[in-house]
Amino acid sequence: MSAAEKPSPSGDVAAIISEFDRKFLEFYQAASTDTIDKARVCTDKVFELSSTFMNKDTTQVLRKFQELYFGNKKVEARKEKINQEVDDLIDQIQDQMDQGGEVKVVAEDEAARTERLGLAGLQKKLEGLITLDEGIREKIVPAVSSMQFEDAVRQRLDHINQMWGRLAGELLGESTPDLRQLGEQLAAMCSSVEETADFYKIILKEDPPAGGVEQGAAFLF
Amino acid sequence: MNTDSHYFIDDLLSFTEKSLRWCAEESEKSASGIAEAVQIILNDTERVSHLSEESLAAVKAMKNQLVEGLVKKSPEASAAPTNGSAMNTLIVTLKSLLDENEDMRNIIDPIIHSLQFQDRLRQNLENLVKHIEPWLEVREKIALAGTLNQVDQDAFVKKLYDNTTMSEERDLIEKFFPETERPKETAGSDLTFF
Repeated sequence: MSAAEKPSPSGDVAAIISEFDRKFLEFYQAASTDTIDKARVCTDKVFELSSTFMNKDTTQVLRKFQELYFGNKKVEARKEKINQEVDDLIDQIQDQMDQGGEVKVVAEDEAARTERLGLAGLQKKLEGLITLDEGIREKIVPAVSSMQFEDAVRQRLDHINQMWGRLAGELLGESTPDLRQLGEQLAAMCSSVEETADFYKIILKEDPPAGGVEQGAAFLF
Repeated sequence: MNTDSHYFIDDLLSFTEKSLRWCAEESEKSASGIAEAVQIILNDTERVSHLSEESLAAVKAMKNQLVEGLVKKSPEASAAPTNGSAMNTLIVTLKSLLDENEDMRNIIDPIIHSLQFQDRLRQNLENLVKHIEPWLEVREKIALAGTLNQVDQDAFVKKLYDNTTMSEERDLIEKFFPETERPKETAGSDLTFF
């Protein structure tokens, strides 16, 4: 059946479906949030288990690291802001160099500087813990693995919710959706190589772009 | 809705199933982290020195069971949907171990808790994917009939309830769809051990 033979629902029917979608997707979002909370509790339990052999300092650093690097949207926004400010600083210096004039040190906002150094300091501390103490590496593996898994679950569920919400909205639109374009837009939500590959294979019926995508935090041990 | 849209929905459903199944399998595999933690505990001679020979042997056996039963799944087994039976069996075994070796409580309790929460997460992930199909079916029904009657709405919510294994999942359904009566809980309907 072609799109012309059976148009998208309109008027009252579209309104009923839209209300039904809204209700279901709200429920699904809440159910996903509950699941993400459970993933977080799982990490907490592995931390508890690990705390019997990890010292307090290591546990605290890992906890802080988790807060900063995994799934905390406020922190994510802060990190993006800091990165943007650093990019802006570099751009300003580059502009000065391109103009051939004297390169002046651009003043950085004090609060932003403190925050940036705080993040860098924490990362250094974690790296120090791993490299200085040979024994610590194996001890933090269970906790770090669990943190990574929790982050992956959060990302996957977020993407699923966003994708269905977006599709439901498109199906109720007045015009027939451009599914190819929609598919490409949804594909851009995927964050891991594996997830992207699955999406391209199942929905776009093609190989993913070379190089893949990897936006999530990853650790090498 | 046109045919292309149907195909797209089917594909997105397949992707969703694959994604959530991946999460559920990873959840089960993440028991490897618990096995590693147990190994670290076993390596700590001072910690395990107060355990009886019998208890120590039991902890070692438990760790092996974790590794063999949950981590080293065959490729065929990991491709299939998880059913959590290995995890459940392990939790039951651990509880009986604890009954027989009270000196192991400090070691066993956190492990049981970790496994229980992982099992709950796995169940949640497996159940989440089942909710989408009833939603899509009702959308289709509304498009054809032009309305959503209470009978169809109740049948839809009942399917959501049928897809659950834990009471907290049913609490959430009741919160969002209070107009449909919640089915009575049957003994043993909750697969967890709380």
